[in-house]
Amino acid sequence: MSLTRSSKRKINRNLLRVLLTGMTAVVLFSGSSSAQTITNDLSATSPAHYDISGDDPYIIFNPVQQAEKPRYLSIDLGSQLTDVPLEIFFNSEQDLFNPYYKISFTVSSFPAALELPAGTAFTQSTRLRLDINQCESCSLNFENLPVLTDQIDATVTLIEPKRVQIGIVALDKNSATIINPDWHFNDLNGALDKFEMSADDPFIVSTQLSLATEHLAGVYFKLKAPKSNHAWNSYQLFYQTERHSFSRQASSTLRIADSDNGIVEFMFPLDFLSTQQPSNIILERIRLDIPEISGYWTLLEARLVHKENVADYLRMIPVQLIQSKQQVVTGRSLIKQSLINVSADIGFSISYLLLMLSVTWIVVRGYRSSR
Amino acid sequence: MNNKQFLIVALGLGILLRLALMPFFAHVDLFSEARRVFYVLENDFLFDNSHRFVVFYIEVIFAWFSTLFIDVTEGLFYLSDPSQSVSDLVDYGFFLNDPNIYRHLFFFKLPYLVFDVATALLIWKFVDKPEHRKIALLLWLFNPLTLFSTYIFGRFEVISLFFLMACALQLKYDHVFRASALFAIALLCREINLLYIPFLLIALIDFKDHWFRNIIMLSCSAAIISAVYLLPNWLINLSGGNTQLFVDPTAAHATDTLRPLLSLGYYWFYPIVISLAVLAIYQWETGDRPKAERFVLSASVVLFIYFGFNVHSVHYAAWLVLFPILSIQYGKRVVLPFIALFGAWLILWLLKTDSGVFTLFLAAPLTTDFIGTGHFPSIFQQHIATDTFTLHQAIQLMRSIFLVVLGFFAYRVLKTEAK
Repeated sequence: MSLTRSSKRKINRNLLRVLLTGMTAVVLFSGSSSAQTITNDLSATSPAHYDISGDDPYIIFNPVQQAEKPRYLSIDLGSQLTDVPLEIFFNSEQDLFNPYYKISFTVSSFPAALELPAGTAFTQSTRLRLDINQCESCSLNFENLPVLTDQIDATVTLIEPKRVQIGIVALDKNSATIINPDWHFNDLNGALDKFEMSADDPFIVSTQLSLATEHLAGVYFKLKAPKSNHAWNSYQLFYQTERHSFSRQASSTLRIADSDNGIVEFMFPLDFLSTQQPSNIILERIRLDIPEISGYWTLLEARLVHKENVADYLRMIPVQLIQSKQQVVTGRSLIKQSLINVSADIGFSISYLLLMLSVTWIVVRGYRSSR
Repeated sequence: MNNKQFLIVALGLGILLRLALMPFFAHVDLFSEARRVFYVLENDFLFDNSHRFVVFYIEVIFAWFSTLFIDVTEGLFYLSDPSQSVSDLVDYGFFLNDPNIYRHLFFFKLPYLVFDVATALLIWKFVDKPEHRKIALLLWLFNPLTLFSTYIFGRFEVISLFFLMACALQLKYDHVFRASALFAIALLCREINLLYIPFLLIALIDFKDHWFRNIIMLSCSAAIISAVYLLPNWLINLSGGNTQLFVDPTAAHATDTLRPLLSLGYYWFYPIVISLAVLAIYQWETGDRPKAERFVLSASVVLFIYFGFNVHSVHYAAWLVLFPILSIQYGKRVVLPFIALFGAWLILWLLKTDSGVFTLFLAAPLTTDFIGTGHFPSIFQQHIATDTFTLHQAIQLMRSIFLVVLGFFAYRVLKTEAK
């Protein structure tokens, strides 16, 4: 799971700058820079008490260290934050936190203790960032700084983390990039080598990928489909990232012709996950919705395509493709994208310009000859 | 600049403006229409669809021509069930993302350009005084209603308007039967033209002539209109064609619409009928004026009445433009009302817009959100609306203002100008 030092540095430099740039931080306590507690989108109602005041509330702090080799982070944030999704980021450079290092959890009651992930070394100089998610009117009690400790008493709730992320897997062009064969079925019966529709919303969902999208070009599928009544059928890919779950606004739909032998293969481009803003996010899972066709299906192959190998797969990208993105094209990329769109039909573009010029010429000539 | 030079320059600029808009904008209705056209071409169902017969076959002819330049074999216009020909946003998305989207849009709007320019030339011919015809031509070529509905929304209203224009021109020259036939063709383009029938028939009456000759002439005109209007259905039935090709059997039947219409289910129905009756009396009382003048003036006001109480879709306002422009021939001062109409129409539809009207999708070949700021209503809700002045109230206010503008326009059209 861990990265090489150079790639880590690269990720920190490129990814986090984008993700965390623009934060409007408020420095609350003076003192040494490492001891500063910084808040964002939190307004202080009294010392160490805050109300959420924006879309991205978080607090950056240093924990109190009580044990030399701590096993737990003991926290007490007030009753308002029970059952609210929380995240602690623990890898930073100058308070720019790496999203690939985090613990996601909820707390049923405070005080509570979070078991620290094995292989991590937390000390009082470790900068931590606590993010409060999905709560617009919560308040935070931060009177008691979180404590690094090695024992907890029976009254403290032990937190079961929803997810612990330490580093990220980058796509390797040389290694196997076939997606794990353990797919979850919905409205489908059978196994990957033979499955059929059992209700009207058939789709398959991959296992957790947690993949850096820096080198990702797209996802390739090869299926054997049953005979359809329609000449063209649609497939839809949903992609879940660390920012959003499966949603129509983060999906791609393609339509391809039915083939005689039933073999259909296609690639959904996902290169925009690393090129458009926000970029270089984490691909968590993918979901493929298949058309409602009765009969037996087989998933022959599902592959994550590296950017350097994309040439082999370009012909698998159908002409009929719609992509709903939660990324946006900006700046030079927008101009480039516009030019690509125009140049996609260069024959028409040139003819169109010639037509405009011809009309202008005819008008000028007609005007002169009518004197 | 002499008259001819003015015509060349105005037409040239008008065409350039239209060409500049043609490839880049579209509403989903245009794609639905294109699917129907290519479905007919692909399956050789040339003698089936009778709905808006004239428009449809003009589009079919141009689409056939366009296949010399575009490839439609990649399933882009694939229609699995013709009775479900109205496109959903997924299919429309495929269309907009097609690499040849610009040429598709360009070629599909080509017949509209031809009929639009032809209408401009007929307007030039209809209006006699040089200074009047220049104003009329400029109003036609550069009015935002026609430009929007034809080249941005991408609908075929100009084809219907062309035949109405030709009808008015024939009336000007007292060619009553030709005018009747052209009117029937216009009916085969748009059902709304039915509203004009009583006013056309009253306009045909020559009050100085014997009543018996008038009855004969009116009967012949009515017969021509009926015959031309019913001919396509009759021919298609005769050839064993399917006139219900694109009709959705699950859609609400026409009688389901008629029932609330006659029982005040539609609040606008009786005000419109009463106002039209008043207009018919006015037209009868002004029987000493030329046929074309009576038809043009009453046809202008017919739509003012209709749109005063009933808004419908944004592009239908294009119907409003033609006859008021022709009223310039009769000395009517319509420039100011036109400017007021354009402004009221724009603000009303900015507020009353939906995802297909002013923002989202219009430049979808480049980006699905052309302006990048979302819909105007959402901006209004966010920055302008208060608890006491909501979006709904703003729309109602603008509808009232729109009605007032149409009233002002009707006054200018009906007002007898001092000699």
